[in-house]
Amino acid sequence: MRIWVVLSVLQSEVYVMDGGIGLRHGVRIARTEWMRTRRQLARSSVVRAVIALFIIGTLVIATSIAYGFGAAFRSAAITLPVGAIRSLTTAVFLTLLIGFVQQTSRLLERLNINHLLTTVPARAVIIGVVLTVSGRAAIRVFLTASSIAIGFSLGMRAPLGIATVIIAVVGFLSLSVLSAVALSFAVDFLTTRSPRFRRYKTAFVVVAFSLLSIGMAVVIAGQVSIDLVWKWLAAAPTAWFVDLALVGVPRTSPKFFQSVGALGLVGIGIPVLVAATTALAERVWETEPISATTTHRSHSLVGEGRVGLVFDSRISQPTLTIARKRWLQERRIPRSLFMSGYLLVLLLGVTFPIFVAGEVPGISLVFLAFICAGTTGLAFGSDPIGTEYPSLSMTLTTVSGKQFVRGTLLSGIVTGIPITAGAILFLALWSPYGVVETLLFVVAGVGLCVCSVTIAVALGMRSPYSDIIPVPLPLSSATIYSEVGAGGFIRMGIMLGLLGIVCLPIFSSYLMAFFDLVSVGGIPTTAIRIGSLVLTTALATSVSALAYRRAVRLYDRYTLS
Amino acid sequence: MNDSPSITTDRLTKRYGSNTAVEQLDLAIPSGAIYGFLGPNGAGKTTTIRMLTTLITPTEGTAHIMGESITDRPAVIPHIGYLPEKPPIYDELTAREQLEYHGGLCDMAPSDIEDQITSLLDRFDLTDDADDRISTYSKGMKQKTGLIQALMHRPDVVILDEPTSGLDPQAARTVRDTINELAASDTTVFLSTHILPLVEEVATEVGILYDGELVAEGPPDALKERMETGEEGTLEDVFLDVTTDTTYDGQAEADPSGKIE
Repeated sequence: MRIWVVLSVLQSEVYVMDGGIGLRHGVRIARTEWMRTRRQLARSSVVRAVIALFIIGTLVIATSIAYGFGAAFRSAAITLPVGAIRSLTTAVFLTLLIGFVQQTSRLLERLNINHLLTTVPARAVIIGVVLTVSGRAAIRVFLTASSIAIGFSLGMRAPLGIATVIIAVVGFLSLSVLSAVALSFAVDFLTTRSPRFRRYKTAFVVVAFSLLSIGMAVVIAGQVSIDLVWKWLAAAPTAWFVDLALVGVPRTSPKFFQSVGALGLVGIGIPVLVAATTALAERVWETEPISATTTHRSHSLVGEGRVGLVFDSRISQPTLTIARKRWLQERRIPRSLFMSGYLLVLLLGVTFPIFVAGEVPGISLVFLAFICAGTTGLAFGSDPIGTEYPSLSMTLTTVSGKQFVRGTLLSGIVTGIPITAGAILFLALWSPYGVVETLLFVVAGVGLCVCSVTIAVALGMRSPYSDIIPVPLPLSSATIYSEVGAGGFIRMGIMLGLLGIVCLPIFSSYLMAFFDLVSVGGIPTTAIRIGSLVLTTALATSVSALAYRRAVRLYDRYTLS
Repeated sequence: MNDSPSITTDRLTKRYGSNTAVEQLDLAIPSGAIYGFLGPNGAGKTTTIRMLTTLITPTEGTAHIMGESITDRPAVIPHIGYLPEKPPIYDELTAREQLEYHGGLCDMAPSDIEDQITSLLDRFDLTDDADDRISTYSKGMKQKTGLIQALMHRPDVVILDEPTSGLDPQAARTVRDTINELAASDTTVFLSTHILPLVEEVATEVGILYDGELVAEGPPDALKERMETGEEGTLEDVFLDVTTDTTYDGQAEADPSGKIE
C-alpha cells in the first residue's frame, strides 16, 4: 500500500502538480526536435511525398493482409500461432529497446540541456525527451500495429478486438519507450559517476555483441535448441501483452493472469520508470562528470618515442605526425572501436562453420580476414573529413595529399595488420592447412587491410564539407564530427562491396573446400585455394594502388565549398 | 616593408548560384604590410580569405600568394599561416600536443618545434595550461592556441580572421605587439576584424569590403583624409560612411563602385 502512495505522489509530481506546464513545454521541445530533424534531413517535397505514399501504402497493405487473416481465422481456415507471436513480441521489445536507447542517447547529446534547464522545469525536458523518442519511431510502430489490429478485427468481425489490441500496443510501446529513456539515463548516470565505466563502455558493447554472435552461432549450429530460445522469449513478461491484445478477439484463449499481468506491468511499470527517469535525469544533469582519464598530460607527437624509433628514418615527419595524431585521438575517443560494431555481425560467418565442422575451416579464416580488414578500413579510413573536421582548414593548408593519405593509411595498417595477422595465425592453429597456405592467408589478410583503408579513404574524401555535423559518439559521452544523411552509409556499403569483390577468389575457393569438393575441372582444390590466395593478394595490391592515387587527388582538390 | 607584393588578386570573384559573395576583387599587398580587411557581416571577407587560403576555388579571376597561384594548393601552403574565426584545434588534444601536431605537419625540426612552442606559449601566457586538454579551455585560451599555431612555423603570410575574438585586454595587446613584430620581420599580415581600433592602430593599409566589392582602400590616415572625416575622425567614421546605404542626414549612399584611391 505504501509503495502505491509513494508512486502516486511521484507520478502526480511529474504530471499533475505543474498544472500541465511540463507537458506543454515537453510537447514544444518535442515539436522543435522533430522540426530540427526534418530540416537536417532536408528532404525535398517530392521525397517527402514518396515517403508518405510508401507509409500509407504499407499501412493499407498491412490492413488488407490482416483483414484476410482475420477472415480466414473466423472461418477456422487457419489457427493463430499464439506461442510464436508471444516469442516475437519479446524479440520486438528488445529490438525496440535497443533502438530507443540509441535514439535517446543521440537526442540528449543534441539537446541544449543547459538552455532548457534554465528555461523550463526538468520534468518538462524529460517529457520532451520521451515525446521526441516516441514520435520518431513509436508512432510508426503504433500505426502499423493499429492498422494490423483494425484489419484483423474487421476480418474477425470483432470490434472489441480493435480496442484491446490498441490498448496492448499503447501499453507495450509506452513501456518500451520509458524503459529505454530510463536505461539511457542510467547509462549516463554510470558514465558521470564511474570513470572506469566511462572508459570501457564502448568495449563492453563490442564484447557483448561478439558474445551474442557466438551465441547465435551456437543456436544456428544446433548446439542449443532454437525451441528453448523461443520458450524463454515466450515466457518473458513482455509476451503478456499478446494475451491482453487477444482478450477482445473471439476464438482465442488468452491467459487470464497474463492479461491482467500486462495491465499490472503498465500500471506499476510506467510510474516506476517515470520516477526512476526523473531521479536519474536530475542526478545526471546536476552532477559534474568525473573525468575518465587525466586531462593534464601531453603525449609527444613528434620526435622520438617508440613510434619515432621505428618509423622516423623511413617515413616523413608530416606523414608520421598525421598517424600519431590519429592514434592519440583514438586513444582518447575510441571512434574505431565503435565502427568495429558494424562488422561484428559477420562474426557468425567465422563461428558458425567452426561449430558445424568441428575444426577451423578456411571459410572461417576468409570471414575473419574480411572482418579485420573491413573494420580497419571503416575505423581509420572511412571518415577522413569528419576525423579532421575541427582542424580541416589547418590540415588542408599545411600538408599535401600524399602526406595526408599516407599518414591515414599508416595509422590504419599499423593498427590493423598485427590484429589481422595475429587473429588469422591464432585460428589457423586449429585449421587443417599447412604452413605455406597459412602464411599466404596472412599475406592476403595484410593486403586486404591495406586495400580496405585505401578504398575507405578514397571514398571518404568525397564527403562534402557542408554535410559534416557534430554528432554524439553512440555509447559514449564524446562528440565526433560525421557526415549527416545516407551518404556515409552508402560509401560504407560501396567500400565493403569492393572489398568483397577483392575477396571473391578466396571466398569461392574456400567455400568449395567447405563443401568437400576435391577438385574442380580436374584442378585439385588445394591448387585452387593457393591460387585464390595469390589472386586476392594481387587484386588487393592493384586496387590499393588505384585507390591511393584517387585519394591523393581528391585531397589536393578538396575545398570547403 | 618590401614593395614586391606577397598577395595579389586580379578580378577575384566568387559566386554561389545567383548570389555573388565577392565581386572583381583587386588587391596588391606588399610584403611586410599589415592589411586590415574590413567589412560588415556578410560582406564577403571570409569567402575572400577562404579563396586566398586555397580552401575554396574562385569562380572567376586569379590570386597569388608569394607568387604562387591559389589554385595550386601544394605550392601555396608552405607560405601561409591561417587562423580562421573558429580556431582549427582538436578538443581532445592538449595545447602542446596540438602545436606539436601542427609543427610536425609543417615538417619543422623537433627541437625547433619545442623552442617555438615554449617561446610562444610563454608570450601568450599559456605555459601553465599547455598540458591540459583543449576541451577544458576558455574561448580566449582556444583563440591563443589557434593563433600560436598559425604563427609557429614562421609563414611568409599570416591570415588572421578575428584574431582578438574572446581575448582579454592583456592578450589582445600581445596580439597587437606580435602583429607589429611580424610585419617588422617582413611577414605580411592579412587581418580581418570588426575591431576597428585594432586596425587603426596596426594596419599599414586598409581595405573595406561591402556587398562583395572593395569600396575603399588605402592607408588609414589617407582614408580618413579622403573621406573628409576631419582631424577628429576615426576609421569607424570611414567604415560607416562607405558601408551604410544612407548617410545620417538621409542623403544618398556612397557609391559602392566609387572606390577611394
